[in-house]
Amino acid sequence: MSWSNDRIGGLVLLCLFAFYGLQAQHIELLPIQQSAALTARTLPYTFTVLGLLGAFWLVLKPTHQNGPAVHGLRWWRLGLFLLLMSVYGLVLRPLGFVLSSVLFLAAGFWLLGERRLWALTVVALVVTLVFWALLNLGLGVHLAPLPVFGSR
Amino acid sequence: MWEGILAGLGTAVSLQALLFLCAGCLAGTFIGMLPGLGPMTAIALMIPIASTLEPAVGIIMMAAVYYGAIFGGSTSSILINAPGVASTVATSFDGFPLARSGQAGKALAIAALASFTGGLISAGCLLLAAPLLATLSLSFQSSDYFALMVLGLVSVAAFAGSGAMLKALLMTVLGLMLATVGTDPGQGIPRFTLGQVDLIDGISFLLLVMATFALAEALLAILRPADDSLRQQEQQAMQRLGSIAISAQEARQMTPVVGRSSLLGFFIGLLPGAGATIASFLAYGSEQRIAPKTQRDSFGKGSIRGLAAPEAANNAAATGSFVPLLTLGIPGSGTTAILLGALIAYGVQPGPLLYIDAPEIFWAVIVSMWLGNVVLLVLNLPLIPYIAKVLAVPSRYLLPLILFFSVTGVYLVSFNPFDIQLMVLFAAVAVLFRLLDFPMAPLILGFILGGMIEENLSRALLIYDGSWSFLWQRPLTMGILTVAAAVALGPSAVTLYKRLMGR
Repeated sequence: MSWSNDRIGGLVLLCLFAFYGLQAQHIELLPIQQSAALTARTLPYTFTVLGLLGAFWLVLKPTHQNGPAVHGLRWWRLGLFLLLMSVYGLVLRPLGFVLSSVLFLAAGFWLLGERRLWALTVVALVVTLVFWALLNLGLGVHLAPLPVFGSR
Repeated sequence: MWEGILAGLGTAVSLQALLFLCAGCLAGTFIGMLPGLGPMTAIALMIPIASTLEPAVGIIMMAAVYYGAIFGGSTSSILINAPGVASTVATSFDGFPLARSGQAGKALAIAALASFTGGLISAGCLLLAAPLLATLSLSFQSSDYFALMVLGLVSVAAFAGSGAMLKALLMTVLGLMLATVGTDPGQGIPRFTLGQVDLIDGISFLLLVMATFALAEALLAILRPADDSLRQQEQQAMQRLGSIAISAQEARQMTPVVGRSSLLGFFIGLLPGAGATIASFLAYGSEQRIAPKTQRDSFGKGSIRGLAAPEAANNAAATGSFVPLLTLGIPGSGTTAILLGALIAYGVQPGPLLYIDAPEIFWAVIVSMWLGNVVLLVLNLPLIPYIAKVLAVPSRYLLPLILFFSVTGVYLVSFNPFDIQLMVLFAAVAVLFRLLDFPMAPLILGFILGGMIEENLSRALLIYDGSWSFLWQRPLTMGILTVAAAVALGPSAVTLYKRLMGR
């Protein structure tokens, strides 16, 4: 049994659908709702059955495909960027929009190979300040730029 | 009808609308020109800006982004043979050979003119067809809408290509599942919230689109070894465009091709799931077949007919796909699904009632299509060398900027940092599926239609007193569901038949 793209994807979907199906059993219905033709569980159960059947077929059907082309991919860079975005989400409120955005952009430029500190700082600062000004003055969306000015 | 058209014209030619129309066309062209980024990413990136505008102006801007992105995709197909989206693959067959022979300017002008005419003819057809269909669809009941949505979902999967149908169907199911997260609309029960208060209102449509398109695209580029060569190649090609003049003989040669391909494109665009890609290939193939013997051989080597046909057809189909969206409220493609999501976010429910209740929005969108095509022709074409300069931005700057605008775009709508964490999770899963060659458009379509399917099914059951008999007793519902079943099972049945006959 070869590990083709379809088979790996089918397995991932199978896990997701099984988890969904298990969670569907936890949808609580009031006694009066249980006899309705369409309850909050009807479609989730239908989707689970359809999904599981399809994913099983995708995993089991014969295939001559190759596996995914993962050679030369820079997983560490992907991981660092996912982490960077997650951290950005966490510090956006406490640090304020301008400070957290400048840090996010500067770190992003640095991770992708920009080593000139002045260049990455200037670009990050200009982009953030122009965007922040556009939001505040042009679109009327007010965001606290720095931690000292507020919490949003 | 004329009052509606005048009201739409009034909205569409207001200074604000024109400004955002031009901005949308330019932004769409730029994003579409970046190899790998297509109309769906372009629209997704623009939604946060559009959401701050009035509904009519916001929708006009998003429609402009859509056309601009298709035009931008054609540009990279012609100049460097790197179509950003499937709908411009056929454009590269003759566009790239023309560009290689030093006639890039002419190739771009032909593409722009064919797109413009295709869009114009198609918008004319839309003007006639949309009110008719809107009036007709007033007699549709919830059960018919339910059946139409099932047909829409199945068709998108069926047109995914040989061998990819099951994968597309499974991604649709995943989208349908994601749509059930949050409070159940019928009984008010929380589902799949995993104890998170932030999930009570469900998953934001914008969040999902941004994560699966804009973020996933940028993350895939980050994952792969840095390669700015395509964009540099494109930029260099644009510096030596040559003349954009088209001779009278070439114009005569193009005219009937563009007329035929536009009509074909419009009708293909009406079909759910078919869309611009199929229209462009069909137009290319049919023009090749009917071309005189002397011209047939030049197809694939820089034929003007071969370039004009797919360009006219894909733009006409893009316009045609607005008919089911505006009149029935049912998207026929991933892109129109995103537009539908944006409309719903505005509180505008597309469908027959949009034509009656908010004619100024309905007609403003249609009028903006004409204006958008004019803008593309007179503004974008001469500006291409200047837009190209933006392509010189190295990817080490461009990619973090795309991530930044995607993340902040979602945050600015909800102001909830939890959404950013959810987005990161979805983006990681989307990257995995993209690496495994699973399509994302069916997931979005399933997500958008999921809630509507449940709503219409629930309403139909209420009308029929809890009985499922409408599925077989109402002829229209049953007819549409039969077509859906044929579309879903047809390809497998044909394969099975061929295999049995082969034995």
